[in-house]
Amino acid sequence: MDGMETRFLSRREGLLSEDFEDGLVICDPVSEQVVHLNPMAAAIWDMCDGAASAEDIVLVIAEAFPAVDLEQVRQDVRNVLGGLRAKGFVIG
Amino acid sequence: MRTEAPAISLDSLDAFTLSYAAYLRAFLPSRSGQAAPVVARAGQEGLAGQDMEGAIAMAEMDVLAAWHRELQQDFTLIHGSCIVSQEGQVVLIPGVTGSGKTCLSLALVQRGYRFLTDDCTAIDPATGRIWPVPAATHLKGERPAALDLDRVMWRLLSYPSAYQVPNARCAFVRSEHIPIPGESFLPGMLLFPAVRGAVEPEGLGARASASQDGAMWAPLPPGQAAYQLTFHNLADGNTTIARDFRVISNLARRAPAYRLLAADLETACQVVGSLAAGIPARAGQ
Repeated sequence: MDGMETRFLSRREGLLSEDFEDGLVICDPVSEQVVHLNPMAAAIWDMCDGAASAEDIVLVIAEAFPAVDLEQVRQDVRNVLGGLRAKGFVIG
Repeated sequence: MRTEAPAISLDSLDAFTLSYAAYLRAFLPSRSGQAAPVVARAGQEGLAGQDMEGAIAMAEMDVLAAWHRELQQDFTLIHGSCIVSQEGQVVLIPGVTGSGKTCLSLALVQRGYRFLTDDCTAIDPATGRIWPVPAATHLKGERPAALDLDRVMWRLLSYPSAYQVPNARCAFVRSEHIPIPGESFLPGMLLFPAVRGAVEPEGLGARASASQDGAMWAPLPPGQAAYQLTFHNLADGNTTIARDFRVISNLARRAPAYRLLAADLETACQVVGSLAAGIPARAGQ
């Protein structure tokens, strides 16, 4: 994950977010970007608190869903974080 | 006693801009006593009849644009049509240009719905209530056979040839189809029309329903509805999204949302009627 595995990830400040039954909508009023995260992606976003790395997040989710292959979890987390980093919503 | 909106004059360009601004302003009591921002076009008095019609049609867009700029200071603006059924169910139809929201809303007006707005829905951020902006509709392209404009409109104006939009008309809705000034409404339902080709039936998902006439519709969860509204709001150049995001989100939470894919206008109207019938009329409407 390009070194992201060990870097602490943080949600960028200044973003607007609203919680819904089907996930989270995040809006950046400066870049005018908006994204809808399903509940799992929203949980990954929520774990980007500056004290967890991507691998930390992978391990938390893998523990919560032991029936899912660890590499699948790692890929899914990578995809979510990659998308959030591309929009500048997550830094680190 | 019904309070009628000011009449719109087509006698001259200045008479039109003044009366049209006053007409729009009358539907928002908070602004009815304020001076209207009138967009004047100098040197166009005395035009021949055909030029006057085109000039008024163009001036209508200028007045409306000025009104939108003023409204945006205090209201959250959603790009979409809004109508209310005879039973009081308010249907907001967000959508980009070409998505069919104008034809659908006018077809429903033809069937007894009242016309609140065609292009811009104004929501009070403090109350979540919708205030009418019953401006002229801007019709483009071929009209569906099911749409009888003479029943819905009191005047259609042609744009100047320089406007270069095929079959374009500036059309004013008859007053009997418009609420009385001072009425505001609570949103009941969000309906996102889907254009065939842009969205195929499979795209509506596993929860989609279908009618015998080929219409398909599916509930849209509130988060996805909020995302769609926000995305298009930003695409329209919203400069107050920091205020409006919360309003849009609350709208998506309160009003059930659906995506609709219909083969024709008649079928779409039937589906809307069925969906709207499931919405209770809101107290204090």
